Amino acid sequence: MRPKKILSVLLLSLLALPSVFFSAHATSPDMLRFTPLRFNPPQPEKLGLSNGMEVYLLEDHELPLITVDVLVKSGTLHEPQDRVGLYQIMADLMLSGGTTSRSPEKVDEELESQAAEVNISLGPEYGIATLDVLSEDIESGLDIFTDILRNPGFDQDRVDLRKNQELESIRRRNDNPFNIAARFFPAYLYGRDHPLGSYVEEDSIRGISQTDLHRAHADLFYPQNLTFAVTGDFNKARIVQLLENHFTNWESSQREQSDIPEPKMYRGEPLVLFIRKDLNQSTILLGQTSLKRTTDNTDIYALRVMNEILGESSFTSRLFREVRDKRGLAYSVGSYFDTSSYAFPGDWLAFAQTRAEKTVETTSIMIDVVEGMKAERVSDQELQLIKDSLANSFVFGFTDSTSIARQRLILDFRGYPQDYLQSYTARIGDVTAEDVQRVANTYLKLEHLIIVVVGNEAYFEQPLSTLGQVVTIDPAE
Amino acid sequence: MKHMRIFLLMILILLPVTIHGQSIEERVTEHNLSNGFKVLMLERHTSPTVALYILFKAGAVDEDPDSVGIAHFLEHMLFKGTDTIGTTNYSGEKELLKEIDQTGTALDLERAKGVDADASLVADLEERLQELHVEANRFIVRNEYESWYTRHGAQGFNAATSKDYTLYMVELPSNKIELWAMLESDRLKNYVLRDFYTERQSVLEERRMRVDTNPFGSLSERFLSAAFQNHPYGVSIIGMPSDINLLSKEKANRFYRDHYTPENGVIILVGDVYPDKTLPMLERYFGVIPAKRPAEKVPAKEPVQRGERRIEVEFDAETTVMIGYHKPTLPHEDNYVFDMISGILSYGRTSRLYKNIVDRGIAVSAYSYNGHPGERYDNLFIFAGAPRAPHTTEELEEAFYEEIERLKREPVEKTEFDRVLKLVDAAFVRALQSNSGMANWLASSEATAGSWRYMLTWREQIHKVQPEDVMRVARIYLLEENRTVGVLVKSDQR
Repeated sequence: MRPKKILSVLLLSLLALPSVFFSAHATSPDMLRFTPLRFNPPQPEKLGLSNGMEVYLLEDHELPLITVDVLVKSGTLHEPQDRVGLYQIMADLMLSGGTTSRSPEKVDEELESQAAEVNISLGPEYGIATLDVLSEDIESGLDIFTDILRNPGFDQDRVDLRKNQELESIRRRNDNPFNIAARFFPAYLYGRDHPLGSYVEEDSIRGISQTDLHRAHADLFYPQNLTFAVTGDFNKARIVQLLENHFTNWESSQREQSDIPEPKMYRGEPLVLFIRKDLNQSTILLGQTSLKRTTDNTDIYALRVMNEILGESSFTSRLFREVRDKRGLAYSVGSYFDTSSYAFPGDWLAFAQTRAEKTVETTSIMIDVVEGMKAERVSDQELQLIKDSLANSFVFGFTDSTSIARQRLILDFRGYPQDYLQSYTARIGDVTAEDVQRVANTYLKLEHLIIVVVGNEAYFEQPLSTLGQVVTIDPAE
Repeated sequence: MKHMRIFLLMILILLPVTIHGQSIEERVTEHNLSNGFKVLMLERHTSPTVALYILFKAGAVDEDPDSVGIAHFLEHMLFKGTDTIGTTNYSGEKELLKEIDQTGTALDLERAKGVDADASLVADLEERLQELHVEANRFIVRNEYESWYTRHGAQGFNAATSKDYTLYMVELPSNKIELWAMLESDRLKNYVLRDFYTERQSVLEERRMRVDTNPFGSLSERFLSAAFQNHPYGVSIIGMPSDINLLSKEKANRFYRDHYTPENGVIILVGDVYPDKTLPMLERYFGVIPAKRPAEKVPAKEPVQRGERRIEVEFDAETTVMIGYHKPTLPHEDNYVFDMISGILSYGRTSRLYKNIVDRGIAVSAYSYNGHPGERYDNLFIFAGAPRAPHTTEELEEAFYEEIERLKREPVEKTEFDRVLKLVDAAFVRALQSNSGMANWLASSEATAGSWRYMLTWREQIHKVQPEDVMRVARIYLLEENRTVGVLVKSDQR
């Protein structure tokens, strides 16, 4: 080491560390030293109402706002298959269709006059209903929110309107190539007759009746199926009293959840699904099933690292590097690996949008990149970059109390131990290059790959048949 | 929804909302570094994270006519590293990059001749460029600049170019602020435009994604070029393919020299930041960038529109419509009135367009917003939407025009003003929950109004809007001869 550098190192090590530390003599990023980040996110408190409904509470008086989240512990997987789309439409109509004592217009006006926001959205395995309100309006806000949750009116005019809007969405669903690809990929992966693969059709929408809507509501919104989280500028005693007043007289009834059959997941030869749309850029999706998550599956840490390296980490992933940075073949490119499906296996996929005359080449490069994750161990440098990244960005999961409480809500719903989050970064730190290669081989099944291409084959540089057996789909199907 | 976000960004207001007893005005500190670089800091210690934004008050509207797309492309190119980051050896690379530039430019110019191009010259230049790329690639350390941020826990690392300004954004854990200062000041001082021609290909793909294959993007581009016949607000930010194919390093360096000066920049830190401790560090890194006057750009003036313009764009997608009326921009008094009109018409489920058009099933979307496509210069008030079949865009247009006539005819009730003001107040409170949201708001005010303090006066002004102001403004500007209409028509393709 040159004398000057030894001196700088000595100076650095002698400097006392104030709470904010700047490296007065660093001339390159690797010379910088950082004080360790100290953060201790608050923990929500859990308590039970007198009827057994659970509530998580987390006070935060920074701003005069309160958020009430309601976890709905089942989702669209349970939707009757002759009424695909019913559950989310029902959820939207809870907000727009009035209640048994308030007209739809009254609900709109009451919410808006308080600048209160209500949102209800359902996923396959669970849903969340949220009230966001200024703290001074918590009583009136909770009053109308409860009415919406418990007593939907499903006003016929609003039902007809919502159905008509859905029919218009169906008309417009082939306007955008990514939406087309995203619709047919799960349809072929899981089968169109399974909730994971089915998509809305006109018949199922037209057939929706008020009886259907009330039944759907009763299937999802009953006391045993709901858990609350309240965050923000509230008084604990008051909020508990309000929740007691509004919810404990709700008659409990355990609904029987019908069994959902296993999907027939695609396990055939590599398949190319082609949808013709006259565009100068092709949309490519390729993938398969990922895994059915269980709380004791320890592969999830290696999988997270693997997917970040493959295509999730913007700007530094392999897909980004090979397809965009090195070759300029796409602006939008990446990968996705679902580890949050517990009822049935989720999916993984890689995507890119490339000029039509490079469709086959880009697809081949994407497949090569996936194969590379299986064939060789990742480099120490790549591995360490992602492990550091995940550890250093962990703090962003805790920047606001609403996310903290919602996280806890969902983790408990899934049955995770209380220290799951605390041990997360350490478990990520334990992941080795061998682990990454192992999970790539276990879970990235290329022998049954489904590739979806939306574009105009007249412009492709080679026929799609070079990639696998081709099935041409009419998007009007 | 896009329009809601724009609305919020435009009209976030300041009011007696306090965080722990301090008003926003008290919490924002403002300083100038020794070279004129402005620094804004807003403290918020709820989590040990910080949003770190750098704004340059130059965007697509400032481009020279021969450099359409250069503002956006330069933004891309500033991710390629410096003379120390992203390269194994810059002195070895330097000569190669120069030759790549010369060969690339010669190739571009020859190709641009179209059918008159010398085919064998083009082939020779292509081959030479390919050889040079292979050599130059050996020096590249790919994505090294981005890797620094990724490694240290960055979120939302990105940049954006609008008509009005360019923004470089990242969020980091708050113990990493110096890393950001070092990396950002380094690239402002020592950027190197490597991988130029490959990145141009990515930008062509971006254009295909945002415009060629995107119904709304296609309509929007054609609509703006019809609405603005002289002013550069009518020119595409990303550029036409022919523009992109003629972007050169010379043009990129020129735009940088003209506009990326400390006097034209604003450094914004929102979150877990301590101004007293941080300012000297910012001076050390950013204050040494040489001061330079930015180039004065006076864009071509848009003549008064004297008749309706209508354009159609054929696309393989269902029909939509976009309508724009010319109007003055902030801080003209009529602009506040337009902000209020936008709220009355389009903010929330009980707004007029939502109740009278969407809830009646004429359209699946129908909205308005103020200040398109930028706010530094006189701009447009927009109506847009998608009809619900069997209703047509003609019917949707008629529905919009009825609402406009009503604004001219009937004074707006006080309750409607109050509704908007209440929603706006609450939206601002909510925005305070996000460091990046606040940083964005500070940046856009600085860029379009010259100071974040613009929002301090905005609230006063919007509270002063009266029913007769709405009628007056509607009667002056919302006229057929002042409107441009763009309709996306479904092409009959099989």
